Order: sequence, then structure tokens, then C-alpha cells
Amino acid sequence: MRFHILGPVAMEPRTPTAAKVRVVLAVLLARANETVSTECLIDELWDNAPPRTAGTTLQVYVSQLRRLLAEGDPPAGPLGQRLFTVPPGYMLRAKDDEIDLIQFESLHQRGKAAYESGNFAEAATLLREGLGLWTGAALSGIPHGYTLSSTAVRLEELRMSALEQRITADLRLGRHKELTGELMALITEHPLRETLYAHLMVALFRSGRQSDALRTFAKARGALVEDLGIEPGPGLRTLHERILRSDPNLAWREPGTARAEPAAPVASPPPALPDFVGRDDAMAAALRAIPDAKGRSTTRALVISGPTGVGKTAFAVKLAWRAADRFPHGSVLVHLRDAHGAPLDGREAMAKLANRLEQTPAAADEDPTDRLHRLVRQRRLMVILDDVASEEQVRPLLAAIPATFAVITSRRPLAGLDGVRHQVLDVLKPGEAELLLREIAGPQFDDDPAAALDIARLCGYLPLGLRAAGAGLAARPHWTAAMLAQRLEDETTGLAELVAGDLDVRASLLVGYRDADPAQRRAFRMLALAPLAGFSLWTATALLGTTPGETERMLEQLVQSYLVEARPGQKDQAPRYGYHRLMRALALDLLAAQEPAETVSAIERLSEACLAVSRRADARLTPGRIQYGLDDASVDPRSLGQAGEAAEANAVEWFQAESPVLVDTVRRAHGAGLWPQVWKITERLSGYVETRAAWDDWAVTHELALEAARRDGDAAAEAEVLRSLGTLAWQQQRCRQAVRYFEDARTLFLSAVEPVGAARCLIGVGDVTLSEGESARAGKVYGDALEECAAAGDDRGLADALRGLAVVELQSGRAEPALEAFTAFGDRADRLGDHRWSQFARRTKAWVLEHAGQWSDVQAPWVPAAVEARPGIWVVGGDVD
Amino acid sequence: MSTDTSAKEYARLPRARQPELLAPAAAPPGLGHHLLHRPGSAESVMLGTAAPVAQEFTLSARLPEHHPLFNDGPGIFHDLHYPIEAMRESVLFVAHQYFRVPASRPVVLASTEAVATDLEAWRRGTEPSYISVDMILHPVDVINGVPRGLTCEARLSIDGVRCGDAKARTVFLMPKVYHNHRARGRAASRGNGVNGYSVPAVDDRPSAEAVGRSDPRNVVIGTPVPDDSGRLRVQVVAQPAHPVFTASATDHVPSTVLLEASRQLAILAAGELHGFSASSCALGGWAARFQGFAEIDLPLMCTLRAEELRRDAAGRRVFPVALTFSQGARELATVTVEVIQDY
Repeated sequence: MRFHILGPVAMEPRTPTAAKVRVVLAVLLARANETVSTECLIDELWDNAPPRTAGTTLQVYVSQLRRLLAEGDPPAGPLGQRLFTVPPGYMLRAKDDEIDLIQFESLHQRGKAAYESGNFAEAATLLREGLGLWTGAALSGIPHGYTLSSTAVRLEELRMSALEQRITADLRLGRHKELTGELMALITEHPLRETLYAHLMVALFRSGRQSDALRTFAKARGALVEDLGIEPGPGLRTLHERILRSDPNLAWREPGTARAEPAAPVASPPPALPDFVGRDDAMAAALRAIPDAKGRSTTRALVISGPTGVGKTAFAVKLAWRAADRFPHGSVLVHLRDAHGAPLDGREAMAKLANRLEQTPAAADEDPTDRLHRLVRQRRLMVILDDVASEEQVRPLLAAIPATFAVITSRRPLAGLDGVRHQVLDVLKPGEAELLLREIAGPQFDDDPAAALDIARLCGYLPLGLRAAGAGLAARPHWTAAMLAQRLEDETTGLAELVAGDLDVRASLLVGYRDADPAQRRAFRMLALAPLAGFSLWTATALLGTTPGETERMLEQLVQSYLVEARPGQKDQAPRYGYHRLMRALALDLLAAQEPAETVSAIERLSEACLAVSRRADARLTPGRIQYGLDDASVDPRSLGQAGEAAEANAVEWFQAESPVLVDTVRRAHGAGLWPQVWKITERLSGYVETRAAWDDWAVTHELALEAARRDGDAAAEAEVLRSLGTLAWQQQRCRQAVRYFEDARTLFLSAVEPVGAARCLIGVGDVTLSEGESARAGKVYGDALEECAAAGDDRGLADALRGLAVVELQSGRAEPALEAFTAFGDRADRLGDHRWSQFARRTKAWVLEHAGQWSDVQAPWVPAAVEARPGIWVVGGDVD
Repeated sequence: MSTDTSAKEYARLPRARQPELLAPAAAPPGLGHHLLHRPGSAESVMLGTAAPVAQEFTLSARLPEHHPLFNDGPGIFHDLHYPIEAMRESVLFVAHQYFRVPASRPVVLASTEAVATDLEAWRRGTEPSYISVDMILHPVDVINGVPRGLTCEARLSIDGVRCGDAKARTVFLMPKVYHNHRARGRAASRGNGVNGYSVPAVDDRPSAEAVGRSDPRNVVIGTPVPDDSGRLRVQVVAQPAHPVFTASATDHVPSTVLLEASRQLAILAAGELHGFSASSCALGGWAARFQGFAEIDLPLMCTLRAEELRRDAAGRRVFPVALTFSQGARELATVTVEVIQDY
């Protein structure tokens, strides 16, 4: 007799036609030569709802089966000697060669043994024969209960195991071309089985179809990520790496021609990150620095340094894989920190490396240096020393392996090491950062591509932050990318969002902070009071309360530790400093936890420094503008180095660079309740924001200053802020609001007996009136202002009123008076030393003369469509009286 | 008081006895505004000049409230007309004043577009609204320090709320090139025997209300008729009855006419094809590419192709249309308009 369960359940010569009888047969065959209980058979037939007559019906089925067994086995007699009633059930007896399953298991075992002994041809033959017994899905054609279901799963797994082993044997035999079609079909059938993808990748690679092999990996990854949300396993990723670099060891070789295995130990670094992106230039430079395939090199180590989270280790591992063919004895990575993050000392570091290279424990009497020397002798290895804390830590180790190439990663430049090359890693480029995010959480950016760029920016393009953001997003499919971007936007809370599993950005950044000494830690915290845009030496000097020399040395230490960044100044200017966005978030976080009084003192020092330095820049840019509080600087500008001189020498450039510091300090001083400082810094800034039409900074600072002046009870200060707000409203053509500001300011100035401010308010009203096209009325207002300025001895106001009168002439089409008025204004501006106003007068006069032909018609005077009312501000198209 | 000759001289000017601090008079009609240069370099701050590199300018203005065209109609929203027209004027002004493009070089507007990104900000209230248009002007094809063209990218804000984007591209032609271009264009427009010009009669025009206006003199299109391919075809009134269209004397149909014609035809079609209520329609976007000038004395036709109706993020119906302006066989401009049905 023959019994088949590796396909449709069948029996030779005759198979029961009734499905239930076939179920009984299948269960008995699956457990042939064992007793199967009646309950088990009943459960299999009717699951949990057997009929009342289940026992009787089962007996009928068994009886039918016995008859068929007897037909196929006449010597057994009419009662059938195969199917026995054995309490508590039944047992089917069969010989090994009668059941296809037992035959298959036997062939499978023999095939495995042949494979393991290296007889691949015999292994392939036996396994192929075994697989040939299968005629379809195991136990098919009948309904499955619990027993049959689990048996079918087990049998299918067995079949796949045999199949994969047969394919492996065929690959060993060089049958890769014949295998590709079969493997492609199998992958369609089993899209989540990584081994099949691996076999197909190898088969395609060996068939000269490297690109198809890489596409297969992409397909595998797509299937796994999409269906299971997981990345391919290390085996498949490693194979992908090897195909990427065309690993010669992956090519098929005739048995017996394989390269001799290198002498042990052969070590491998951890798998490279599957989504490593960018760094092409740095990688090319690193590959040039390491030994070539013959082991020739001009250097003995490569130091890869950079801030925390920039991807130094990932880069080193990638480098090891990319350069694997140059190191035939492999590469090994050793992390030089203990479980608590403390640096290992030199001896511990050597022992850790030696233990990685040799599994057996060190002999008690063997010197660690000798042991390490012995282990690397005559081997071409790459040793990656990861997260090195200092030069002292690795010097003994490097001395013990003088002929072994080392790649060192560190958060410090390790400039003290001799004979090494240095490679500094910076954050990713924006495009690379976006790519990395898409690699990790691609689908969530499909509807909002701009959000990827936003998140990349908010992570400061730091790979660690990007990985945490991407992984966090991927783990929260109910979030949109825009939602994450919005959460990251808040600098004070954004860091808390960058946690995904064991990827904790804050904890990682803290490691670098904790490596610093207490003075450096304090400086790291206090300097975060400067704006994100960056700061220069004088700002840091004020915040730290140290001398410029001490501050410079401290900044250098912080830069060396990658806690603070140094940014080259333009041309021959001094460098500026700043934080990486995420480092600043950490610093602010730490700052919030420290004693508030220390923070307030630092803000006060910075505010006073801002007053002392900005005063000189403002006096140069808009001389004579500030009338109040000039004697209020409590800081000697000399204590801030050359900052005052630099501000005076290049006032516009100084404001361009430092206005973010001034604006930010106004905010912080306001937060600390330093009211006089708030309005005073704002007043010094207001000339510049007016010059640049920097409306946002103008509005923000002046709203705060208005409140500060009121709280300070200083009417003149309040009036000055209101006047400036009036000028802002005028620039924005909010004429009614501008007039209200000027009116309120004038009233306050008059009550405070400040005639200069009151007169200047009139000039503001004149400007508004001019913009409304009411030239005649504007002329009257400017004239009044002129008188008042003259009476108050305000040279700047006098010049400004003359400017207004000149523009009125121009707007009214009176060329000659306009020329005269601009001459008068220019003279005044020259005397004031306001070069900007002087230039304005000169170019307007030139412009009038340039259009002399158009002015010549006295009967119908030409009225220009636009007049430059103040430097760079054109009043266009208003009606003219 | 310090003495000053000039000051004394100016003290003779007539003036009021007391300072006047009255509320300003209502803004005059027209496109009165401020144009501010935001200099990027210290040199530019001090000298008021601009190198032939990208420059930032800001236009600030009170949006018109009584303009005979821009405020004609139901008055629910501010028109896109104002920023488009003000931006065009500013680009021309900056070209000559800052980029030193000689006045003799005729300016050709190659393309303009504006889109309202936040329609609510365009809704008119009881108080005046203020617009600011932040522009970055990039010189193109700079020869001897003078650009042959400018591109302008602008961000629009009303009362501090960012609510739109705009772009424009201009080309400054050498005079001879310009005149040849005009002559060739005019010949082409006449090429298929088009001569003379008859203005559609008043009773052959849609009502002002149907095109989103109130004053019949502002209607600049005739009654549309479907052509063989099912598109709407209409004659544009190149010489409208209202003087606002002829404020800038040109030898060609002013761009305001094309802008207004495309607006009116799009709103009319939205009403006829999809039942939009013209009195509560707004323009969500307008984009034009110009290939030639429209001659004043030749019939100017406009053809409308309706695109698929959609809804915006707020759920309002949006009707996009594509328009083609032509004279004879010559295509002059292609315009796309989006009409939004407010409710």
C-alpha cells in the first residue's frame, strides 16, 4: 500500500471518497504507528460542536476505512490488520516505505548529512528526490481541525527547509543561472522569507546581474517594511553590503579552488546602517587615508571627530565595509567606554581589544601589550577604537599595535596624536538630511514633502536627531510630519520629542556635556542666553563675567569639545560662535534648572554690555539721534575688548551682525524685569531698524520697551518709544495710527518738558501728511518743527525738518526751491556727521538736475510720480495739492 | 539755539500758527503707497544704491476703499488687482531707479501671477486694511552692470497676516527690438484680414452684476457665445467707458483691461456653468503669460476653457478656467483664473 499526505491526502490503490473518512485517514497517517484518541478524531472531524451521535459516526468512518485498507491489502483479511482499536482510540500501522512523509524525512536527513560533509552534488540529488515526493500543499483536499492544521504548518516548514538547503547546494555547485527563475517564483509565493531573497541575490550576482541583485534587496526591504514594519535582518543587510562593493569572495568558485581561509581570528565590525546616506566626499577622503590593498599607507591611524550624534561610528563602520578588501583579516570595533559611559583606561582598552580578537581568556602571566602584539602579528586588520575620550587613553594601545591600522572616533579632535590623519564630520547637508528622513519614515512624507525639510532643519541636520525624529514618526502612523515639525519648533520642548526606543537624543548629547569640567559646563549653560543666530566675543565675555582673554580660552575649549561651534568671520573679522540647535536646546534645558539669580545676573551684564557697545555704533549711524540717558552705561567698554571700536568703525556691519543679540537681549531683559535696560537697548536699536526697515524686530522690541518704560515710570522714555512706533506705522502707511502715536508721544514729551522729542514728533506728522499727498499742509508742519527744533537746540531735528521741507518742494514740482532746501539739509547733515543723510541730499540734488528738462515748463510744472522722502523710502502716487 | 542760514530762510515759509495734529484726510484715489528699499549691504545702506544682485523691497499701502474699479461691486473682498498692479509699477520703478535700466528701453511684462493663500485675510471689514508686499527682485542677464530683465517674487500680507504670493517677470528690450516686435505683432494681428473695430453695444454686454461689478461702465466684455469646440468666446471691450482704464496712456490695451476682462469672464462663466453667485465670488488666483501687445484699434477676443471644479481646504467650490486672448490669428496672452465661491 502507499499513503500520501505530502499533497492531497490519498491512499493506493483506492482513496476514500468521503472527506470525513479522509480526515480520519490523514490524522492516523500523520501519527502513524501511534494511538490516536477517539476525542482527538472527534475534535478534528467536528471541531468543538460534535453531534450527539459523534462516537457512532466515527465508528462508521473507521469501518469504511478498514474496508478500503483491506481492499488494498488482501493478505490482511476482511477486518484489516492495519487499523487497530487500541484504547483510548485507534492506531494505523504502516511501514516506512509506505508513507511519503517518512520517505521524505529520511531523504531530507541524508541530504543534510551529505551537505554537511561537503558532498553538495549528493545532497542536491537526495533533497531533490525528497522534494519530488510532494504533490501539492501537505494534507490538502480535506478540512483541517487543530491537529491537521498544526501538522500542515510543520510539514510546510520542513519542505521549505529542505528546499532552501537544496538551493544552497545547487548554488555551491554553480547552478546559479538555473536557479534564478525558481527563486523568483518562490519569492512571489513566500514574500517574507529572507533566505529566499538572499539566495536569489547571490544567484543574480553570480549570474552577472548585480543591479538585479540590488533591486531584489530593495524588494525584500519594501516587503518587510510594508508588511511587518521591520528592516531586513543582519544577514541580508550584510549580503547587500557585499554585493554593493562587489565582494570577490561572493563570486562562485569551482570546488577546490576557493581561497584559503585567512588565519584566525577574522573579525567583522557590526553591520553598517542600511540607511546610511551622504558623506560621499568624506568617505572618499577617508578611503584615500587608509592603507591600500597591499597594505601601504602613509599614516597609521585616521581620527574621525565631530559632535555627538553626527554619525562618527556609523561612518567608521561604513568605512570598514567599504574597505573590507584591503583588510583580509577583517576589522573589529571596540567601544572604549564602560557600561556607565566612563572612559576605559589604557590597560582596560588593550584588554578589551585583545578579548575581541581572541575568545580564550588571557594567560595569567602574559603581558597585555605582548598579548595584543601576538594577536595582530602578521594580520592585516582594521581596528576601530570608538568614542575615544583623550589622547592618553589610546596612546598605549596604539603603541601595542604599531603595524595595525586604527580608525579612531572621538568627540575631541585629538590633535596631540602623532602620525595620524584627521577627518572632521559635520552635520548632513539639507538634501542628505531629507533623504535620511525619507529612508526611515518615507510614506509619512508623501503628502507633505516640505515637512521633511522642516524637520531636517529643526534637527539641525544632525543624523542622531534625524534618526530619532524619523523613527518616532514611523512608530506613530497617526501623526503627520507637519505635527512633528510643529512640536519640534518649540526650542524648549523639542528635544523631548526626539526619543524613539533607545534612541534618546538628549541623553546622548548629555554625554558630551558630562565629559566637560565644571567651568566648561557653566559656560555651556550661560552662553545659551545668547541668540541661536550666534554671538561674538564681547557677548560671551559679558555673559560669563570674565575677561576677554579668559573668555576666548574658554570658548576654544568648548569648541574643541564640540559643545559650541566656531563660525569663521567675514573677511578678516573675528570668528563668531554659536550652538548647534539641539545643543542649545540642551543648554537652555540645563540653564532652566540652575539658580535663577545667576541667570538674571548674566542677563544684566549682557544688557549693560549691549548698551555700552551699541551706543557707539548708533552714534556713528544716526549721530545726534539719542538725546536721553547717554550717561547710563555702567560698563567700561574697555572691559569688552575691542568691541566698541569695532562697532564704531563699521556701524552698519556691526548692527547687521549684532542686532539679533540686541533683540534677544531685549526679550530676556524684559523677562527678567530689567525695565530700564529694555527700553534703553531698544532706543539704541531703533535707528538701525528704521534704516533697514526691519519691521519685525522693530515691532517686537518696541512693544516690550513700551511696557518697560511705563513700568519704569519714565515718561520721556515712553514718549520716545511711541515716537519710534509712529515712524514704523508711517513706513507701513498706517497713517492714522502713526498720527496717534506721534500725538501721544508729543503730549508726553511736553509734559516731561522734553522739547526736542516734542519737536521731532511734529516732523513725524509732517511725514504722514506728505505721504497723504498734502504737500502744503506738510510744509506748514515741517516749518513749525523747524522752529521748535531750532529753539530746543536740536541740530539733528533741524536737519530733519529741512529734509521734510525739501521733499515738500520736490513733491510740489518746485525744482529750484527743492535744490536749495536739499542743499541746506545736506549742509546740516555734513555737520552732524550723518553720512547717510549727506548722501541722500547729494543724490536727490543730482536727480533733480538730471530731470532739469522736465522741470523747465513753468506753466505746467512736472510733478514726479514718486519722491524719496527719507533714504530708501519712496512716497509713490499720492495726490498733489 | 544754533543759528543756521538755511533755517532762517525756511523760517519765512508760510505756516500755521499752531501745530496741526488732526486726523489725516481720507486717502486719495489711485495707487498711493510707500516703496521701501531694504538694503542688504553697508554700502547700500549708506549710499542708497543697489548692486546688480538680488534686492529686497517692500511696498506698503492702505488698500483702496473707494477705487472706481477695484472697489466696484459687492465689496466683500479686496481685489487681487491692487497688489498685481502695484507690484508691476514697483518693478518698473525699481528697474530704472535702482538697477539703472535706461528709460529708453521699453519694458515688456512677460508674466505675472498672484495667488491668495488665505482668503479670509482678503475679506473687507469696517476698518481700513493695510497691505505689505515683500519683494525680492533678481536681475537677469546682467550686461555692463545693467540687467536685461527682472524677476520678482513677492509675499503678500494684509494687516500682518500672510495671505498670498505673487510673481512677475519683466524684460527690458532694446528700442529697435521692441519696435520690430510691435510691428511684426501688429502685422500678424491684421494677417487674416481683421481690420477695423466695433465695440459691442451696451445691450450686447452682460450686466455689471453678472460679472461681479456694479457700474455698467466697468463692464469690459461682450456677451459670450460658445464656439464649435464648446468653449466660451467673447469680445473684450478694449476701450471701456470708465476713465480708470485709460489712466495710464499707452499705445496698447492696458494690462488692467486684460486683468479685468479675465476676472469678469471667469466670474460670469462660474455663474452660468456652475451657478456661482457673482456677488460672493472672489479670485483665488490669477496667472498670465504675455506673448504680445493688444492693439487698441483691433478686435480683441477672449476664449475660455473651463477646468474641473474642485474644492479648497475650507470646502469652498473653486472654479479654475484657462483663458486665451487673441487678435486675429495671433495669440496675445494665456491666463488662468481661479474663482472661489464664498459662503
